[in-house]
Amino acid sequence: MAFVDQIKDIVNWLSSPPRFFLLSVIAFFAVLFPGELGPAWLRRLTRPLAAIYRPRVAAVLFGFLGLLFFLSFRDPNFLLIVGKPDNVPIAAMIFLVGFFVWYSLQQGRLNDRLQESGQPVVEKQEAGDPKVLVWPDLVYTEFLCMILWTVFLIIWSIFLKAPIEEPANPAKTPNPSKAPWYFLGLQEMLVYFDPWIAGVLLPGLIILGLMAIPYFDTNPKGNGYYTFKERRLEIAIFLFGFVVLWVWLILIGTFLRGPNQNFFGPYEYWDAHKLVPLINIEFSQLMWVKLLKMPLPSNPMAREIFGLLVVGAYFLVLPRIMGRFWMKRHYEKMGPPRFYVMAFLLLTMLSLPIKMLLRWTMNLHFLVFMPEAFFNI
Amino acid sequence: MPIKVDEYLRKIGALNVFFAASSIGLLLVMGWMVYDDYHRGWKGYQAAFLRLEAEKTEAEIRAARDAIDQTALQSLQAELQEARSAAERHARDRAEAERRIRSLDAEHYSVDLQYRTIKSTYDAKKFDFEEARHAGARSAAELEREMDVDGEDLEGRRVRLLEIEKAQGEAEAALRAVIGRAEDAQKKIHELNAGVDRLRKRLETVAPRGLMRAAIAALNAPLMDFVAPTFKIQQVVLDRVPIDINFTRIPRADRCQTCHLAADRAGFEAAEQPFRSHPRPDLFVGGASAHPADRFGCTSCHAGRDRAVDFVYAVHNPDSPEQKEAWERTYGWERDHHWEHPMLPRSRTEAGCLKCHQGVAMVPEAPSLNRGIAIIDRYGCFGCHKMRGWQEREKVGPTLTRVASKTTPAWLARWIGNPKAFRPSSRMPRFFGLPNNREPGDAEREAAEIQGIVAYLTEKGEKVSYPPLPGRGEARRGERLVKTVGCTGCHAIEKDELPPDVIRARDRLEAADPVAWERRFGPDLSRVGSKLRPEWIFRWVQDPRSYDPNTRMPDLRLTTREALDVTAYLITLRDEGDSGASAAAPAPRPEARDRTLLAYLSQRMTPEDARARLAGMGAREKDVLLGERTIQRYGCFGCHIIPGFEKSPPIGTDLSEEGSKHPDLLFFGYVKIEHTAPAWFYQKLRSPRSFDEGKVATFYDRLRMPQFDFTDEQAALLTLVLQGLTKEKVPLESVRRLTPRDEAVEAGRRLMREHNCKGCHIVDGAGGAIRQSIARNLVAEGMSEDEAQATVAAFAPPILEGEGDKVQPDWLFDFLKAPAPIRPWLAVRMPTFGFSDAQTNALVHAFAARDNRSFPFQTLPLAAPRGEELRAALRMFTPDYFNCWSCHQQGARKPQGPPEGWAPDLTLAHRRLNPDWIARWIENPQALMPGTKMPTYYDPEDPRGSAPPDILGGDPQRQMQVLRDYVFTLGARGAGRAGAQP
Repeated sequence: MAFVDQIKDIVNWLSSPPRFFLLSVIAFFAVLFPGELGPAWLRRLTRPLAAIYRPRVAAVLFGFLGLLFFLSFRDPNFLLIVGKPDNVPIAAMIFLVGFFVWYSLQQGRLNDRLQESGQPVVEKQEAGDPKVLVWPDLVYTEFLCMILWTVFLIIWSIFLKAPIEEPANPAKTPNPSKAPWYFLGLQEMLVYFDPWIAGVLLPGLIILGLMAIPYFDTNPKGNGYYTFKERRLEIAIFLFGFVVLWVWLILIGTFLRGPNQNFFGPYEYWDAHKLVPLINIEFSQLMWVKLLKMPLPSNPMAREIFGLLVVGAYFLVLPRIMGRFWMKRHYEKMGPPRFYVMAFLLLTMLSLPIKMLLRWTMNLHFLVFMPEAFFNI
Repeated sequence: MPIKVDEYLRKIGALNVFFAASSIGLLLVMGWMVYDDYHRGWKGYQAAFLRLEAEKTEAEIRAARDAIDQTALQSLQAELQEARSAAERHARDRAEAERRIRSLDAEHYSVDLQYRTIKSTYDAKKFDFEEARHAGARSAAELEREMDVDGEDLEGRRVRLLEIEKAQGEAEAALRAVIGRAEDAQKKIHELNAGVDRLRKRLETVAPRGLMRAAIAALNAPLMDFVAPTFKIQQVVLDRVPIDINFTRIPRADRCQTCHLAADRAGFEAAEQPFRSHPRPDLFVGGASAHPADRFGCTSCHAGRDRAVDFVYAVHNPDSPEQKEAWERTYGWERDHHWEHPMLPRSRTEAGCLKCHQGVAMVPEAPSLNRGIAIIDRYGCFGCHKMRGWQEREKVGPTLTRVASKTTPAWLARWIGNPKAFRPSSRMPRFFGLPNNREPGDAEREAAEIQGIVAYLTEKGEKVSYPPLPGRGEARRGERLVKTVGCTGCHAIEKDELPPDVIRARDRLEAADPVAWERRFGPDLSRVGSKLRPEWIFRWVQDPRSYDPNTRMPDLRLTTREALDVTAYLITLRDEGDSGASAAAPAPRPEARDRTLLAYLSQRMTPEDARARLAGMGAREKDVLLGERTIQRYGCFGCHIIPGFEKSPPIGTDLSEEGSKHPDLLFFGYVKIEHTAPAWFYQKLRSPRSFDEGKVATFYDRLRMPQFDFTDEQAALLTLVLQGLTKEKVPLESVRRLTPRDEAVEAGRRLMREHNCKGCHIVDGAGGAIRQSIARNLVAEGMSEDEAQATVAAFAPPILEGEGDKVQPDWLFDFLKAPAPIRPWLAVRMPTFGFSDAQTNALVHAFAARDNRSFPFQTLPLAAPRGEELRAALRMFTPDYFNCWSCHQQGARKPQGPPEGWAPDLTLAHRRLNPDWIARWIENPQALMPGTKMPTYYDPEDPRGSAPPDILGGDPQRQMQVLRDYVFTLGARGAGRAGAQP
């Protein structure tokens, strides 16, 4: 049992947000580009990961993860949180999202190989000639899926009761107070950003950005078939935003955020009395007090000048540099207006992980902190 | 364009099979869903209850059938038989009469139909004519004629109908002449069987048979039961005891009776739950009770989720670990954290009373709650905690303004350190040396704090000195006085009264205190000599108020001599283990005192400033300052009046809504108890500082609640009261509102509790604790235990049940202000309490109100007996008849025999007693005061038979009236009273 407890302790330790997040990002890129990124030694190190796209290896891996997951139910704390009726679909989401992401990438790589050897893609082979008929090949199977899905939902509703709790009480809110699961990503952002950014600006930009994708990404390849090689950057950016910055945050918010919004490992008891240090440091304090050893200027603009400069540089100077160096090919292909809009949206997206890291490593509260104007970044 | 089958991507045949299978699957799952929705636990209970009711009804039918008088039934049946055969002989007459009735009925029907037809046309024509005449139309005359024709026709039919009805009556009488006797007999048989028939009908509805049964089964069938099922959720909607769902209040909808089907019905007292009758239908649920179910429902008292119809969701709450286990097995019970008003466990149901019965000294019929309230009153929880219903109470501890004149500093230090070590029965809790202060250095710090408190009390208090005793008393006489004069109504002397092993068991909280609750009102006197200065005792027992004007210690009117004797005795009551200062903790080192004081001061100032302040102070000054800070921290002023802390606010948590506190707001620490508020309360009461265990805290931040040494039972009772102090707001119309009479009774009850009247008197069905000590005296004088118990009533203070009925308000007022002996044979004295006029009036009013007498004035409509009546009265007083003077005193004339056989002075009666009470008293003393020595002269069953026949014609009522009138002329006759002149 001691061995199992040690494993649990290690998992709990790894689940602390900075560690877990960094691990997730590294794993994300390593699996997405096995043996393709970074210096030669890193490529050598990550190359074996390509094996994951072999169905048999993937099946073993999924099986192993599933086994671990179900074995974890023996832990009372894990069971208490994961076994809640309202958390069951989120637990299912781990495997469903994992599987479908894997499946699309695997199919894309398969097609890439087929195309390299001059063969038609899988979809082309399956469809044959003439093409597949809507009825019965599509509609009939969809109908069958609908019936089976209804059967499944009914059985689910019989076994898991609606999670109804106590009457709402303004004097005593539930602890932890959580948004509905699909908003937990947004709620997680509230930890790092001012509400007007996390609750208004960023969700708005997410929708605008999704709507703008067809105008940035005019690459016609990949229509009607899976591919990876032909749209590497596009897939990478999208999956980073979707899997890491959305689904991952939902999982964190569901399973690891406990009472008082504290982090708890998956095998840890949700103790409402747990205390963790909560320290807020403003960027202005960092610059003026710590670095320059001066009191904070009373004029808010003067006080926040460093923060404003950093934010300005991030959104105004960085795109230019990107266009000149790292993303030169895209800059040339898209032209300045489209590129700069895209760069703005991309940087906005990346500001979330950056802010998270600043928060975890330096306890940074805000880069720009102007409560006088209700303006905090 | 037709497409060939082999051009499809998938195999259609396989898809079809798959489709068929999944559709069947869907159908089955739908069926399952319907069943799951249909199958509810409460339907099972309703069916089970019908079976139970059927069994019960069948048993009742059998019993009713057995109860029928068989001989009466047989004779009736014989008569029926006989009457039927008699009717048989006149069969032709009967047939003729029946035929005639039939034809008359037919004719009546037809004529009546014609009558009503014509009547409607007639009415219509009448209306037309009236309209036409009013409008002056020319057709009016024609219309009138038509109307008249119909009118005549109508009248003819009406007369005909009357004729037919008369003929019908005659025909029926003719028929009855033939078969009347048989019908009567039949009717009587029915009446005899009525009970059984009624039960049979009930059985038919409870357990229908045949077609009816099938029809009801269909009504209750799945998917059919939306029409008119017989299995239904039973609910009462109660908007006068609403539920607070935080944003608003909604009507309570109690569905408990969906399963608890017999709660409002008698006859199921022994049934298994949920079918048991409510145990107190006279108080609850019943329509005629004070809390009918249609006004208060169930959950307004029991709590729980009103709308739930499932055992777990109703938030039933087990009363014991065994019950919890049984419920987990039977019902899959688990604690539902989502309902803020979990049901009160059975033993703590009385907590539900408090939200409506607020701020009263006693809630009728709630013994546990009342005992809990009494403990709070006695221990003074409200000194440190604000509590709804206990505002503006006197502090429960003695005033410490002049404590230095009462005892020695050494004793004070010893007492503060651990009061229970000196007097285990003390209510004063222990603050020092408790488990959360056992780190190195804590003992010395606490010793410094205690020394500080003593210094503060000595230094800041009033300096009073008492003159030396004016003589020497005799301890033996003093002992007799203390044990007989009435001290023992409030004080026990347990080392005299109890065997040591009993005391030890009590001290270890293994057994309840055997001394009566009322006799713990004042401190136990066992070791009082080790505590008090003799001069102080002498002064105190003579005039307690001169030391503390607010004291509740009354004045027993001791003479100087008696006071000296009592002092001499009390001084002998010493602590055997008392060898002066050795019992007290060693004085702390000055460094420890300085360190502690520094720690206190550093809470608010920098250590440097604190040190500077200390440097300028003398040792005594430091002690006093440390004492002040310690008193401040521990809130000693919650119970004691302490100079300098008169205005300090209480230091404890507000408990007014503690019963609604969510367990999340309570800190359970590392104590392994269930995470519920009641479990926490109980733990806190038993071991107040246990939640500090395993925590890191400076002494200043540790828990401060002292250790009261409550027994398990006391802690449970206090938990019950705390659970009752909820935040629920009950609308005024549902709150118990006291009538003016109840208010008067309530005010009296409170005064009586504050002055411990029950220590001596039995009132409200309890009290008379002093009998414990009087019986002991009798045993000491040589009586056996049983004898002592039998005679103790003769030496005990009077029982006050019915006192308001018995005595005149004027007299009671005077008596309470300045008691004068009524029963001179009693050694025990009614003390002078020094009541104010308002308090005295309140008490007199309470007695009057309790017995529904008028207050404050009343007339005494009496005439002194004369002539024959006076002679009759005098004769009845003689030994030949009632021999009144053999027991009753007559002024200075005392009866013969031992004093315990004496009875009150009749010459006082005219001023003291209510005249109607005297008459009722003579008539049946046992009815007014069960167990009284007053003989019963008139047999309550037969007063006339038992009355002396030769006096006033043997009329008991007149005899009693004359006796009463005569008693009223005794003594200071009349004294100017209306109607009472000689």
